[in-house]
Amino acid sequence: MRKGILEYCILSIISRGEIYASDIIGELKKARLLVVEGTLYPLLTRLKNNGLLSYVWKESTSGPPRKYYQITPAGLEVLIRLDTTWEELVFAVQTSMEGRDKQTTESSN
Amino acid sequence: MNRTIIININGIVFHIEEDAYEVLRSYMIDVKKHFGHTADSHEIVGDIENRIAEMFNERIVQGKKEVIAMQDVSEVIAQMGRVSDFETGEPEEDSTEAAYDMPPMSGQRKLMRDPDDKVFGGVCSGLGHYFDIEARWIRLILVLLFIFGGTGFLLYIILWIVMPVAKTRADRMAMRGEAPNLQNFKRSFQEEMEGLRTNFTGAEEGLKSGLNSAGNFFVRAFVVLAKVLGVLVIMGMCGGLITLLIAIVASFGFLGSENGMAMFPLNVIEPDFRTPMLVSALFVAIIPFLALVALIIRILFNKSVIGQYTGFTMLVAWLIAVGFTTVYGTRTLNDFREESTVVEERPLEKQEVYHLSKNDLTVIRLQTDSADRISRIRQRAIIRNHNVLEGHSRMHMRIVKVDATQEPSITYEYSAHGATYERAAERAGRIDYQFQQLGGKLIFDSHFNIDGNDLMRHQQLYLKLNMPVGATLIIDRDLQRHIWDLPFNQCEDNYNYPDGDRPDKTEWTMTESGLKCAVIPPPIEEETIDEERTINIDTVQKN
Repeated sequence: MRKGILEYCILSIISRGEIYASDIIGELKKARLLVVEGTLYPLLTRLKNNGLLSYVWKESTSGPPRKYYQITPAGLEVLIRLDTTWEELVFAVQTSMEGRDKQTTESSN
Repeated sequence: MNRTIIININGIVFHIEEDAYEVLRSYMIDVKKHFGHTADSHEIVGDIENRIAEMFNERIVQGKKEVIAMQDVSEVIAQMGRVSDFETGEPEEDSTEAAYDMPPMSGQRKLMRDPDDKVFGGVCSGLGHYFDIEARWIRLILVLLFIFGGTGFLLYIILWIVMPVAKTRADRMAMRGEAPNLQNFKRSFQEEMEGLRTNFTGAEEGLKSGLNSAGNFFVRAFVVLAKVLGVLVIMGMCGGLITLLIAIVASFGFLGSENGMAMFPLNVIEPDFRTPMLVSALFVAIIPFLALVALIIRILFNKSVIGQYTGFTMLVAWLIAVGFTTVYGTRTLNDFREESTVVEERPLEKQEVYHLSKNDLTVIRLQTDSADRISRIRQRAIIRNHNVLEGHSRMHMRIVKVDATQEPSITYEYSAHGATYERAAERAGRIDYQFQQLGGKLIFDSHFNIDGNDLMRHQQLYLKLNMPVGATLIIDRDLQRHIWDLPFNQCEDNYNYPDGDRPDKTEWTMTESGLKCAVIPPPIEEETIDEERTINIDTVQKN
C-alpha cells in the first residue's frame, strides 16, 4: 500500500519536470514520506523499465554526470489513471469516514 | 595519522581513510548482496555508487579537506540508508521477496578462517565455527598436540593454507552456517558494530553469559580444571625455561668458548662461531617456549601477554637464529664430508716374548719427573674431556699374523673427516698418539689426543700389531677392551681360577692359524662338554 503510494508520489514529482534523484528525495522528505535514498533507486529503475520514466545524462559542475529523470507519455497516462484511482480512493475513504466522527462523538457522549 | 586508500567510484578518484574504506566496502557488499537477485541490480548499484561519489564530492573542499573520513562515510550511508531500510521500498510482487523466503541453508557451514577472532590466522576459530565449538578448546587441543608430538604446528600451517579467509560478511555468515538473508545480514552487521564498539573485548563476557545461560555446572567445572591445568603447564614451562636459561648461560662459562678448553658439543664448532652459536641456540630454544607460554595464557585467560610488535620481533629474531643455526650447522656438517686415513708403519724390536700393557691416560699418576711434563699435560687434557671423549678418542688395536721370516711391526691408521680430502688428511696427521717399546715391554697409551686447536671431526685411531708366527704375547687385563677379535673370556676360563677370579694377564701364542691362547684348558670337564656340544649339533643336523 505504502509502496504503491510512494511510486505514485514519485511519478507526480517527476511529472512536474526534469528532476534529479536527490531532489526527488528532498521533495519526498518535504512530503514526510521519509525514505532513504537507497530505496529510491530500485523504484526508479523499475518505473524506468516499465517505460513510465526515462532519463538523460547531464554534466554536473561538480562531480560525476547526473541522471535526470523525466516522465514519458506512457508514464503520464499511468499517472492520469492513478489520479482517477486516487480520487476514487479518497472518495471511498472519505465517504466511509463521514459517519465516523458522529459515531465517535456519540459513543463518547 | 591515518593511512589513506585511493578508490575510484565511477571514474572519480577519492582519497579515503582506511577504516572508512572498510565500512564503505562492507556497505557496498551488502548493497550488492541485497540487489543481487534482481535483474536490474547492475543499474541500481551503479546509481547508488554514482550518488555516493557525488555526495563525497560535495564534501571535499580543495585545499582544506581532501580525504574522505569515517564520519563522511557514515553520514553518506545514513543518507543512503542501510540495506535493512531498503526493504520498505521494495515492491511486494518483486521476485526478490521470494528469494528471501528461501529456506536458510543452515547446517551447511563453510570451513573458513575467521579474521575477527584470531590469534594467528583464525584457523581455530574457523574450525570452531565449523564444528560449533568454542574456538579456545580447538586452540587448546592444537597446543596440546604441539607439545605432545609436535603435529599441531604442521596441522595448523596446512589448515592455514587450505582454509580461505572469510572476507565478506556473506562469507562469515556461511562460515557460521547462517542463511544469507537480509535479516541475518542486518544482525551480522549489528553484531559487527557492537564488536567494534566494545573493541572486541567481549569474548570473556560472551563466554560467561553463555555459561550462565546454559547453567551447565560441568562445563564450568571443566573450564576451571582447564585453567588449573593451564597454570600448572605454565609453571612447568617456566621452570623448564629457567633451567634452559641456566644451562645456556652456564655453558658460556663451563663449556668454555676459548680454545683448547671446549667440551662437546662446542668442540665441533669453530672457535670464532662458538659464542654466536650459543646465542642463537638460546634464541632458537627460548622463543618458542615464551610464545607457547603466552599462547596458553591467552587462550585460557584471554590476556594478551605479548604485544603484536613484540611478537613479531620475536618471530623475526627466532627466524634469524634458526637461519644462522641452519647455515652454520650445514657448514659444520660439510666439514665432515670427506674422510681420510693416514697409515704409518714402524718396525718393532724383535723379541721372543712381548708384554703388552696400557698407559691409562685417564688416571692421574704422581709424577715427580719433570721431564715427563708433556705427558702430564696430555693426561690433563684427556681427563678434562674424559666424559665425552672416552668413547671417541680411545685407541683400538688388532693383532695380525705375519710370516715367521718377517720382522714384527706396528701400523698406525689415523683417520679424520674434513671438508676436503687434503684437510681431512692434515687433520688425521695431527692426531697425537704415544707408543713405547722398552725391550720386551710394549706400552700403549689408552687414548690419542687431538691438537688443542683442532675441532672434533670424527678422529679415530686403529693400531695393527703385526706379529710373526711363534711370538708369545702377554696381554694385560686392562688392555683387553682396546683389542678386537680376541676371545679373552675363553682364555681366562682356561686358567681355571677359583671363585670366578680372573687372571691379571693372559698369554697368547701366534700360530699359523692366528693367535691362540697359550694356556691349555683343564682337561676332563671341558672336553666332555665339547663332545656333548658336537653330538648335539650332529643330531640337530640329522633332523
